[in-house]
Amino acid sequence: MYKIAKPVFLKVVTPLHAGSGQDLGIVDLPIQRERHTNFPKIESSSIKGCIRESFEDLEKENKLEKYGVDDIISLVFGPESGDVHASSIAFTDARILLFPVKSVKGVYAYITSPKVLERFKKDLEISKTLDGIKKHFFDKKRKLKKLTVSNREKLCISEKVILEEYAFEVEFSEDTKGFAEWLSALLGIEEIKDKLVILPDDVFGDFVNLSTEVITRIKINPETGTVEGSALFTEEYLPSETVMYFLCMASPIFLKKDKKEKILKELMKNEKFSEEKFVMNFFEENLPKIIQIGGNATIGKGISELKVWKTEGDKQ
Amino acid sequence: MSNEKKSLKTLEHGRAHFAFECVENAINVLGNKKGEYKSYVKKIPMLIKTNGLGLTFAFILSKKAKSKAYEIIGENILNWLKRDEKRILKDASKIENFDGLVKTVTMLESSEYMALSNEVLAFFNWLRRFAEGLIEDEEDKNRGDGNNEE
Repeated sequence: MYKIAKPVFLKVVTPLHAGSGQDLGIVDLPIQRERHTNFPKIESSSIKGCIRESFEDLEKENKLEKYGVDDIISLVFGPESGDVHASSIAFTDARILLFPVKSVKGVYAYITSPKVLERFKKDLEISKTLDGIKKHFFDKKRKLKKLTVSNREKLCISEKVILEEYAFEVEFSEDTKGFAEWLSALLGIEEIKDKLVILPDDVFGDFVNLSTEVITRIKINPETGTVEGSALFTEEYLPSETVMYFLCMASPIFLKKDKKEKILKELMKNEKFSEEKFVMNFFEENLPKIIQIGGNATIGKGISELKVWKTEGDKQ
Repeated sequence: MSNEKKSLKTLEHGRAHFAFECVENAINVLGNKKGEYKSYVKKIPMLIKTNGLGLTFAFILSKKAKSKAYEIIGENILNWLKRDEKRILKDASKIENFDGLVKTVTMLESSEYMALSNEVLAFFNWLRRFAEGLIEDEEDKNRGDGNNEE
């Protein structure tokens, strides 16, 4: 079905609320979480919707005319209604990679854990991006161990890194430093180099539960200028600087044969690559760098940066 | 198998059952001050999430001399940790009062402290629901009989 896949990184710029609706926990409007790990996630339907919307904006600005086909968005993202054909592009849920936590030294640290990195590695394997020079950060000889940091001077106070109100005894590790530098270059986020801490899985799990941003909101009665009785509620947000990633997958275009040939001729011109490659290129060329995901757009929430992983052999 | 069943039941059910008793008891003891208990119980989970368990306990400690409601909340927390089958707090049975609990919390390891935070939050989730359900709002009451109990 889907023939090629590429990782896309998502950096949260302003707090992001991908809500799961009502919940009986301590927060009235919590964020989406994975059932089995309780790590934050963003549902793929939220991601696909936001990306599709940004493409539709491009279409309104007539920026997709160069493809010479009517309604190219339906071809790639699937038709808005009905079940004429499926979408030729797919997205996975966004998973957490780095989570920012307040640090006594260095303002904040990026935390991650062996389990998170293991999953990241598996997802990269799925998308075949682990080949070549990147591989050695994940090979068996170089273990990214828990309780290691990428830069002791910038994070530690006498052997300890102090996050929120917890102190952890950590050591510096060349492997962790190398990994942080590589990730920093890949994502274009300078701070990762100096701020990476690998924590035990359980501790990471506690931080992503207890250290999310919670905002209390009220409603002011316009007549009295005071708070309305019970109109008080709390909302949970993924903090700014959080880094997540998802996979974008492409398949050949789904269409009935008679229609398809004509359209393909127009689309592919005399290009020599496959249909799925065309879909992926279409996605990459037009994907906006900045996108709004999740709720409360009108109060400036959910602005995020997207970055597609460039692999060797890509059409630059 | 039977043991497994028991432990599954006791986790949330244990918290729920004990929380219900706590709220019933608070209503009996506090009388017309029970509204305070309700609003404090609703406030505490968020305090724990934003300021941490230690600071929240210190806050309850600072308030309990003047406020019966806070005193009862402190007792509720300690009694639950004593009854908790998971024994999150190992020496809970030896702690005599809430002051002792605060002292113990200040000496915990990071991992124990986090586990305790999660347990107290889970307990308050029930406490808060039952307090909201069993104690009616001041507003409703005022509308009903015109009495202001402030």
